[in-house]
Amino acid sequence: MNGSAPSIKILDPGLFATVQDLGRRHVAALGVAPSGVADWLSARAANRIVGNPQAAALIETTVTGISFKALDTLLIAVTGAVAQLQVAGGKKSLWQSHRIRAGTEVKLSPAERGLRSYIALFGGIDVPMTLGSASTDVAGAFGGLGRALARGDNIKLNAVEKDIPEDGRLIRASARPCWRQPATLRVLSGPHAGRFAAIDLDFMYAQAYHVSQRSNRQGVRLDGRPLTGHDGFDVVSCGVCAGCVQVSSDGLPIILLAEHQTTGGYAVPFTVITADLPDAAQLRPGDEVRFARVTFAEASVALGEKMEALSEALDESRPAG
Amino acid sequence: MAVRGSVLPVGDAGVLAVLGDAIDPKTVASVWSLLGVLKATFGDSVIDIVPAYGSVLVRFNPSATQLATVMATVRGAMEAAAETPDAASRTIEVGVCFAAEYALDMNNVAEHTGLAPDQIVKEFCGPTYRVAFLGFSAGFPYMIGLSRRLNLPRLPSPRVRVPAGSVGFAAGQCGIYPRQSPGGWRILGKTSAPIFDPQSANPALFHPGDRVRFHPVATLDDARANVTS
Repeated sequence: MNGSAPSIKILDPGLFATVQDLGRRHVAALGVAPSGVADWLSARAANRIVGNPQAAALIETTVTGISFKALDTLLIAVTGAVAQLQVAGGKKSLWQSHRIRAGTEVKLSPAERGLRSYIALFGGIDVPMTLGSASTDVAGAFGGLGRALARGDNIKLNAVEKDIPEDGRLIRASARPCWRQPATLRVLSGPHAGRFAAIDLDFMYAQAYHVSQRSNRQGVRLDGRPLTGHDGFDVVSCGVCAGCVQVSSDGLPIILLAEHQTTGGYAVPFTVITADLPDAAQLRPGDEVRFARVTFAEASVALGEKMEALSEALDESRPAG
Repeated sequence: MAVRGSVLPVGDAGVLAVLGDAIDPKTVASVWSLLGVLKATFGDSVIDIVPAYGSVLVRFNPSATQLATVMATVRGAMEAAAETPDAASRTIEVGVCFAAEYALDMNNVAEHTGLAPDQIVKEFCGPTYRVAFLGFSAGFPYMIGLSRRLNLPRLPSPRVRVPAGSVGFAAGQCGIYPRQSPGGWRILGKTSAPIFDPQSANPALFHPGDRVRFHPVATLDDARANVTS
């Protein structure tokens, strides 16, 4: 408040929590992964609820939740996976801002549905920018804290000139994603669709895949019935982006996420639309997922709707309780 | 003038210009030319412009930019790009220590090529390589120009940990691992030259188009890089 820089202390970082923003630009040609939040919708929403710029640095957790102590008075919002949020032992809503007094413990329980939670803090997390971004590149050990959060870390927030806003700002329940199961991801034809026989593409569209334990921020690996009868699905390495579905040498798909390698040598039969990347990022091991073809017009409408819903569902009114 | 190829959408947030599907110097030179035109045309208005052996990917924000506009701009850039190789480029001399402790695959390379270790080093240090593009991990240079006598495929199963600075080759290409990572290329030696430093204003030692020459040095301390324009 009033120019001083508040901070939090990590009590339990959970399985894997990192500092992320919207990722790196203009450095993929150096072989640097974009990184940034895996689920752009939840992250942008969390920042908007607490009044931060959408690109402010926040915390992304993975499945097990997190707990931390406010060392100063804060305003926070938690979005993403469905989980229980407790502030000083009392239950609080997700997708809503909460004022936290100095010394209070905040605890997020393991995710019940979805995988990743986003914790936005008023002011945003203050870490040095590396290659133009606050995002943690885990493999490269740079950006953010240069690693995943650990017990005892003191995370500093940016000092903000204005006072902490009132709490109770929220995204209306009707506009919150609920990570429905089984999931269907909408896809567009990929750059190597021509390498696949129509019967192979139909085979992929017809089946329900299951999310593998070996998934991470680089990509969601899927188990299922593999494509067979090929010499392999290798292409001369080319640039790839988040959402590209690669068919690896075992004939099974990998959906690339935020920390994907910049180039890849596996063929890409189709690509998840930007509007559905949050749904891909929230898939958890064992979840069921199908792919459904859409048109470019449908992809564009879907993205427009999600962006619009984000602004329209932001409700300033203070709910009772 | 003009480079030939196809322009393909990559989902709703990317456009891929494909100029060839083989690893050859002529295609790579076309990629560099197209890359230059695309950088000048798009500037900072797109998220990333990513070259590879035979393609260039343009990543953009689909909320701000129309796919059709990007595709049309890429087609225009292909018309403006030239097929002639660039004249000016930097040369980077890289010292490599080929001592047994760093030459993890020297024995299997000797076995498969029938060459003695000193002949392998000579073959490897003979050519002037060109950096085609960076990928795989931050700063990793994909280089072409490998001697045909060293034409071996990747290792049958990749190593879980290749030490940082390892210099290796596979499938007609060579490269240097900037940091410890998994990898399937055949490792002949090691350099101590800093390949990638995210804190530096010029984070990557290598850039597409660079000429690279390797020379053997006695110890890792001598294994440094020297850049001349």
